[in-house]
Amino acid sequence: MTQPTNGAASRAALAIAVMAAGVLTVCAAYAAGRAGVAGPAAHAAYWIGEAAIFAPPAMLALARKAPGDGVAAGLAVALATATYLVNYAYSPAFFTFPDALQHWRTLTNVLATHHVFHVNYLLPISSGYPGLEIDASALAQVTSISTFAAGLIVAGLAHLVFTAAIYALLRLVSGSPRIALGAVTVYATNPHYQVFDTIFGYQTLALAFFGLALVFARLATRHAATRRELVRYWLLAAASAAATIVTHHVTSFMLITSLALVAAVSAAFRQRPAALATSVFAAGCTAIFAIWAWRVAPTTISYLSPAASQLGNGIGSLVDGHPATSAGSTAVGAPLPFRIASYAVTLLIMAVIPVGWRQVWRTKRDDPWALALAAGSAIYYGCAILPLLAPNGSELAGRLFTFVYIPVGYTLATAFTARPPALRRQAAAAGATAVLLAGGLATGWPPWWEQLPGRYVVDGFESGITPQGIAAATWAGQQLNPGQRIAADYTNNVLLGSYGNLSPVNGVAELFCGPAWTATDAVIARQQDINYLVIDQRTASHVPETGSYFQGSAKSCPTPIPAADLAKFATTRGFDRIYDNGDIIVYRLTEAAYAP
Amino acid sequence: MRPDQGPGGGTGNTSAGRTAAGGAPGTRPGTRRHRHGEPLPWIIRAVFAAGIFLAVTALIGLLLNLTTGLTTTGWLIAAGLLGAAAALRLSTRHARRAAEGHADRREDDAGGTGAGHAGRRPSVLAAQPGEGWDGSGLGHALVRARVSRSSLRTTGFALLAAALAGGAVGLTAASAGWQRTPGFAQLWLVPAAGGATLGVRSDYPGTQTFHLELRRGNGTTQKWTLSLASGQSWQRAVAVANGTRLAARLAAPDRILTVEATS
Repeated sequence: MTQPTNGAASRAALAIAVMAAGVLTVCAAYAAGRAGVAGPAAHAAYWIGEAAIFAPPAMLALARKAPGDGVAAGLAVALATATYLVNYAYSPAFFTFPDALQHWRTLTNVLATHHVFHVNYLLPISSGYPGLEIDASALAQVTSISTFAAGLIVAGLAHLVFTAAIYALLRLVSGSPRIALGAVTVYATNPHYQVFDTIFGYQTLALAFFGLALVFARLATRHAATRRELVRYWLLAAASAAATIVTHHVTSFMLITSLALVAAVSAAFRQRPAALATSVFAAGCTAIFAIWAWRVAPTTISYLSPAASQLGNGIGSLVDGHPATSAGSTAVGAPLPFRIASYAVTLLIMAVIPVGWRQVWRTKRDDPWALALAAGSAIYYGCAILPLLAPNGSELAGRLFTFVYIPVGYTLATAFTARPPALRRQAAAAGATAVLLAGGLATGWPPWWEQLPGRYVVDGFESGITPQGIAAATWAGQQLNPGQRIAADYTNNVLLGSYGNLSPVNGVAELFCGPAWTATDAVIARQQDINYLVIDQRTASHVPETGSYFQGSAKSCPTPIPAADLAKFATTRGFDRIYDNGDIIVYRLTEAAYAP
Repeated sequence: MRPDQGPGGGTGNTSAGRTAAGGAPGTRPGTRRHRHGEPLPWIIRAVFAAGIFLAVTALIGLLLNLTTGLTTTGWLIAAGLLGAAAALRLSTRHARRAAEGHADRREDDAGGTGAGHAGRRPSVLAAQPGEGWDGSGLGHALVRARVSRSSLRTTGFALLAAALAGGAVGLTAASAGWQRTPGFAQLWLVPAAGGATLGVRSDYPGTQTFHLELRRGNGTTQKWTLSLASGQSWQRAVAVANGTRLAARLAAPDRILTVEATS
């Protein structure tokens, strides 16, 4: 057995120091953005900082002397910590990511009522999966810290747990700290790892439980497990799976799918005990998830079915020779380098996966988990063509990458380390890692136009949140009855649904466009039972980077919206102008507004 | 065999090594140590403990929701029960280990296999730092750091990392308020039974003076001069007959705000 060496510890500590310097550099870039001096130097600092965060784990994974278990695990956790700090640094004062605001509303409801399952008008499905809010409310109540701090802590812990779970799972499967660290590094370059899967959102926490469930299932299906270990690991796996199911729908589905894949591969390779155990576990998870979705969160099917039907329609269109045009990618309309990076990363992964398959088949063909991971990486090819299958295919692919990058990371890391490290191979693997990182950042979150905070972008995501919007929504929460239906542009709908506890109505852009309030508008307003309309005057002077001011509308307004269109409500019968802060105006609709 | 691959795995592992995922380096297949497998590093187990805690908390929260509700008292009672259960579990485990240790010593005295120390380690997750895993780990080194040039360098780098991370957090906290937004005011007039609520809030920096004017449907006008600090609000209930038209106008430092409603 290798004796402990302080040299390895020194290298690890130096690597972590370099990663910390990377975090500081990114934070400096963010600070420059907030100070209004986000020039080329700040953007360069952002990229340099990100490179400094990812370079140490990649270099140690590719080094001639392989990292030990402790160093590799420590760097995996350090990578999670560094990326979490970067995410925190983007919005250090309050939640600005729309999904985080949605869950913050559910958390506020739990703290106000001391019970879960209360309606959240902004994201109704979230109240049916309250694991995140339970944990955050427990922390907030027991420690008396703010809901923002509690949310940050729970999300941060979840991010660490998920990353550690990926490391442990791939370490157990591969038997190699080098491959596990390389796989985690590759995984961390996935477009959603640094932000979307790190925010205060139910998927962030569910991923942690998902990872734990897989690790414990893997430990329980080892040949060498004793009876006591079997009981312990299956209990822990069951608890983790149950926690996944009460926390997030899609993650629960992916857990069941992953277990089913392992069971199928185990059965195919005649590993009957593992196949039986994993099948029973997957069946149990399926039963609990079905009961939960049926009895507790009955809106699950209706919430997820639009994406499924879009995908089905897209496949039908592709078969007919009319592929859909995806508009969801954050790289759409991006500068040329961003687009090149997004294509390069796709091509690179597709090219290297078969190399990993060959290596896995050569060395791990009697391990169903390794084979299942290799098989799972094939889904990446499906993700690559998703933008051609559905109008929001890019977004769907991005969401799937959260899960698909686990087998992709394992397969790529296996390929990169297939042969003994030589300078040429190290350089090639380092270049590939750089492409993965650049592609992940280019197609991930935040989008290129708000990569640094501080710039106002009308109806952007984080960059659309301003004190004026928060003030209007906070006022609405204090002065208007909860659950009143309100129509506004994208950002104000998110704020009014979260801070305001109102029920936002999407898909009614036509009410805001046009020089006059028409009979059709009145019918739509009545059908949608709209109580209030909110005008953001900035939509008359700013162009949205996303291409639209409104969500879910078939009709798009001109950009910018003509000021006369927004002014029509002041002279239309039936509208009470009840709030004004200079940028945002709230109108109350009376009976007359509905008159055709 | 490559240096990163113990007999339990790796891309070039042997069929004997594959019989147990991650078998401990240097152990023969079939020994008790091999059967228990290679433990995960302490840092992973520490993070896993936090994850299990979060999972259990989420499940307990569902139980509390059915009973006392998610109150501070409910959580404290649950924490107390869990703490007691954990203490009981630890004490029984301690007793069992003591009994196993006694049996192992007797086995060793009788010329056993010498695997008794590994046999006391109950599981992959429960292994102690420094046992069974490649000792080049950071955690192990931190646990067993000796005063040497190398460990001083490690400590120095660790302190540097902590300082840089602390600087990043400090810079973030300091810059949170750097984003410049123009000051603004809020004016509202919310109809209610028998009148309306008229209000003003200042979100300008410092104290500002505002001129507010309220016009009723009958032509009467009411005026106020308000001096409001940043974040300060002013609100009045306006009593009028139902159906009366009300209009208010606020002269803020850099703009005019207006509201209008029928009570």
